[in-house]
Amino acid sequence: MSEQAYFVMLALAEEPRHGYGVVRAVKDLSDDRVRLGAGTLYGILDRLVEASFAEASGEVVVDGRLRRYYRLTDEGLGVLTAETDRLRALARRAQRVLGSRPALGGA
Amino acid sequence: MARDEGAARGAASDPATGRGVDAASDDRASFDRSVRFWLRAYPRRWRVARADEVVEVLADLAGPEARRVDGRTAIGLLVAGIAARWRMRPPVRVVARYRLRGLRPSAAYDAWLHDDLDGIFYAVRQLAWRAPFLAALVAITQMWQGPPWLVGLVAAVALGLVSDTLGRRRLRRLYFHPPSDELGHFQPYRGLDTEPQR
Repeated sequence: MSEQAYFVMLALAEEPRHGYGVVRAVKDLSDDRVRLGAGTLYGILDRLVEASFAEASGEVVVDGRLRRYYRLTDEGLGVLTAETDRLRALARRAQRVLGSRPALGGA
Repeated sequence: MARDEGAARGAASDPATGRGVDAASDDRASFDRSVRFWLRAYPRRWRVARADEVVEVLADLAGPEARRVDGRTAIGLLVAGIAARWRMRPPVRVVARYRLRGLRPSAAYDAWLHDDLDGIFYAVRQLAWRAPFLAALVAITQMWQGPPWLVGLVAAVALGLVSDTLGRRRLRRLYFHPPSDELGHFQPYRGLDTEPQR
């Protein structure tokens, strides 16, 4: 799973969001590091919907403007949880490796 | 229609931007056209389902005064649209049989088939698939230094043989299993729960 797809799933796990809401949530969750373009966002949403990890949950028309909301499915939540566990285990291993290195500047 | 509504409101201004409603409406209409132009990179059925939604997302991202999508966004839409076309098409084997031999893809690909037949570049796509074969034929005739009439004759015979061989299966299906909505001739009804006569 790409980092961008992970952030999109994380944004949808919080609450159902429309496209612009997802872009803003990803920006916040990534500490302003990941900025999704519309092409990338809808490529990821298409793949998540195809894989049944996400689904359209409703539409709202505000001032004639269509906002379609998406939410994570139970299957998607399971995949996101598994990926988070994998990242946590990876971070633990990385910390162990870094902690076992001799302190720099001693030579 | 948005432009007419703006005209009816006259010189009113948008408190958020301080600009005239007419100008804001024109900007928005221009921005919509720009987005929809770049969305043509996506398959038709994708645009029918998603275009309105994507226009709004891009309008929110670009801000109220944007009149067209910026270069980076345009390239992003172009790349993502081509990727979507590739992702939503049938396997190459199915497309090749459809393009070169006229075999209908299965019903699972009906949406793609509708888009292909309705698209304005249908003839170009058909030609693009057949062009390599025609080019190979021309190349062979150019390399062979025989009399022109003999080269033409051999090429025509070869083309005919290949075409008939490939078309045989389609004719077999057409003659013996023609597509039809009719159920065919009904046999007399026989109940399964009746006692056999003794």
